[in-house]
Amino acid sequence: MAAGVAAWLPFARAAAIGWMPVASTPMPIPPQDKRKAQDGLIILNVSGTKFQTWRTTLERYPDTLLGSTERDFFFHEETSEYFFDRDPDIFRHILNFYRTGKLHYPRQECISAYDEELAFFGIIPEIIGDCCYEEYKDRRRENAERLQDDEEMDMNNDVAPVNLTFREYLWRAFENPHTSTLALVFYYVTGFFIAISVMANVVETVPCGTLPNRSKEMSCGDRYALAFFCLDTACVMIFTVEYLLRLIAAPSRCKFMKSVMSVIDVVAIMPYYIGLVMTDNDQVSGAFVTLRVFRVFRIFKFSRHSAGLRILGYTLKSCASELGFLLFSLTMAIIIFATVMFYAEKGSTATKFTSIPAAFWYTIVTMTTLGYGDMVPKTIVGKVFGSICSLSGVLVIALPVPVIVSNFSRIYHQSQRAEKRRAQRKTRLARIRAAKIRGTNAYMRYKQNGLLIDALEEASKEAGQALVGKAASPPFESQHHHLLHCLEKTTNHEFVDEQTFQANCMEISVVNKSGSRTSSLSSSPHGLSSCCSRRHRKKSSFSLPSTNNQELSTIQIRERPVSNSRSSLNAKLDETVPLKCDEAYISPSMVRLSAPVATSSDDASTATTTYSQSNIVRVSAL
Amino acid sequence: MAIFTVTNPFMSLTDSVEDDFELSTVCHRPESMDKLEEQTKFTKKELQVLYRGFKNECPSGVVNEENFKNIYSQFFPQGDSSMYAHFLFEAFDTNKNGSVSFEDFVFGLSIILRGTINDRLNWAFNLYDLNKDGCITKEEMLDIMKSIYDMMGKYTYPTMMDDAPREHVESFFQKMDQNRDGVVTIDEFIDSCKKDENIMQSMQLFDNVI
Repeated sequence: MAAGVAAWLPFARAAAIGWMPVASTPMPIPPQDKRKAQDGLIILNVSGTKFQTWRTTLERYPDTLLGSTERDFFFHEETSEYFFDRDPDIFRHILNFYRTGKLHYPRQECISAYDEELAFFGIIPEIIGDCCYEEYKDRRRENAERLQDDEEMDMNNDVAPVNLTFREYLWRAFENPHTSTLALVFYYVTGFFIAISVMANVVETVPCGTLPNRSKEMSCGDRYALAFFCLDTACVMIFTVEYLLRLIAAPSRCKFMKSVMSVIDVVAIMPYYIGLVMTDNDQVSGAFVTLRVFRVFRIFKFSRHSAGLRILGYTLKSCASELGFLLFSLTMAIIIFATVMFYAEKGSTATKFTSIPAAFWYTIVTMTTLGYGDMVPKTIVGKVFGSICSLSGVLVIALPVPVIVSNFSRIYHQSQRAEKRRAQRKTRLARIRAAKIRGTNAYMRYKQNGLLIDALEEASKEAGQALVGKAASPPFESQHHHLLHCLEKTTNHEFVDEQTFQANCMEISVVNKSGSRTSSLSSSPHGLSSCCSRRHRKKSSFSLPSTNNQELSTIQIRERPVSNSRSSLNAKLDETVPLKCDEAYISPSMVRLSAPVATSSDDASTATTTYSQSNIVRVSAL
Repeated sequence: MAIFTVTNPFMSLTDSVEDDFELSTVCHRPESMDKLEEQTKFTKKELQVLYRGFKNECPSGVVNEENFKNIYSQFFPQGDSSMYAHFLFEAFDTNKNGSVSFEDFVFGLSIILRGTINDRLNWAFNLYDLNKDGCITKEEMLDIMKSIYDMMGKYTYPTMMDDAPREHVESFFQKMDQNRDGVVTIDEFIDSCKKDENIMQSMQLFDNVI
């Protein structure tokens, strides 16, 4: 029952009076309406914009946020209104849904913002009215495609090279030549050989001048037969090797063999091998000559190298129905006009229109406005129909062409957008990394703040960064940092930046040759847990430093006497990676590590007694 | 090939020209709330609620039979309520002008929901008496009964027999027709209803509807 007619329910119940005298059994007891006269106005304050409606309007849909008791969570006592910190423009549509029973989708709103609002207010999008449903579905599909594109890009770019098998690595190198230098070299070499092969095919047929003992002009192919044969052999060998490598590396061999590119590859190299087999047999040499035509298909191999060519091919495939229609209508017109021309010209002498199929050629040439002039009508009737034919040809061809053009344009723009997104992805990731770095920088500063204040001044001046006083950092930040500090204390590990970490591990791998290292390397997710353990062991030998900054750098300096170039950089502490080391290794050494820190961490803990657990977003960003 | 499916693009053009002339709609405004409050037994608040619901479904201020049937059928999705809605429409449309205005609507509701037992029974008799001649014949009652049974639809338990309405009409006339003349007059009707406990009890249902 539509909620809009809920207001007419009293009428429907009243109309039941017609049944009463007729009924032979007593009527059931009506439900007691406990909340009588609850029809008041509700004020909904959405980010400052006040909406008002009747309570009963909202209660028409009891399984949404506004219609159920869930709205009580948003009740603001002081102003006795319901406050929602959401977008008021989109809320307007949601409230209209309650009023009219129809949900509309505004065209100018972003689809994901709209979906979020619907999800928040507990309204399922399937009830969008017919007037807006098409638009909504289209936008949703586009959005889903964009998300899928992003995911694919993610999968392509984020796979760590270390974990791939040789086969996967090879396939990846073939599909994305930019991943490694070797792949790029191979890509250009194959491109070069495709060009050489095609040019050789072309030059082979050029007349090259006559030999002294022959009168006929020879083509270059015949004159320098051996050279061309060697060139052909070399090209085919490269292509064969490439094809076999791709076949080996392909994740799904059947799918690979059925793909268009592999068919082109096979067709490109087959003529050579067939030619090798068949040179002795004179009867099929004619067929062999025909096979050489297929060598020109090598030019299609360029489509791996050119995105534009691929787009063109994809466009033609997607416009198949329009092209089919074009062909069909042309055929109809050709047959009609050829028939007419044949019968019109039948009477004239020495006419070239000897049969209807012969007239096909004239019709095609005329309709496409080529007009070779090898066949022309001589009678007046023939000329009249000839002119009608050429005029209609223009129309018939001009009609489906814009459809194909718009298809090509759409696909081309889509690929441009995908390219742009890929480029933006890099900057977006860079921004995320920069944000991470800022976060960890802030954390390191917090720790320095907590431990030794005057040392901080020196350190900040050294590092060239602005002084962040304790009072200046927002409570949000300081609570977050305190939380991270608590985590460090819990796990008895410290956050450090990536450079320090990797430097440590390199150093450790040089120094340490124990067998247990390899086993722990393979077991942990980062493969570097033993580095941490070794590092902490070595900490037992340091002395109490005066400044915190120096403390950290002395730790590093002591551990890595070999790699000294990195130690100066560690003052900046660019990035951190949370360590996941086995605690068993570090308990004896950590006692010493925490000793100098303990006194000042008490200051830190008394300073910030509360820590907020709501900064979950920040933690995960690290 | 989509181009082959276009049948007659010129057909719709002629129709739309005629549609333009029908755009002028009837707009009816009810009498003031004070007058309605005098004439009916509803309070101001109740009139407000009723009018809001009425205007929401019928922005033009009047209900025609089509609309009426549409609204009523939304309450009975399983069966066909169009005949009963037609009879109701006839009962509400007291001035027989083919449309039910808010005044008609509210007067009818006032009688049913706030009237005395006699008023209610009178109204019900008026509903059953299709030709308004003062007595209910078996044919009229059969029409009413069929329309009520139609609202049940096909899927009932026990399965609906074809002669169920007729049987019901027989039992109704057994109860109501005291002088066995084949018709039920208003006095017979009111008399018999007052004697029946069940009917009296069900009449009390309407006190709390709004």
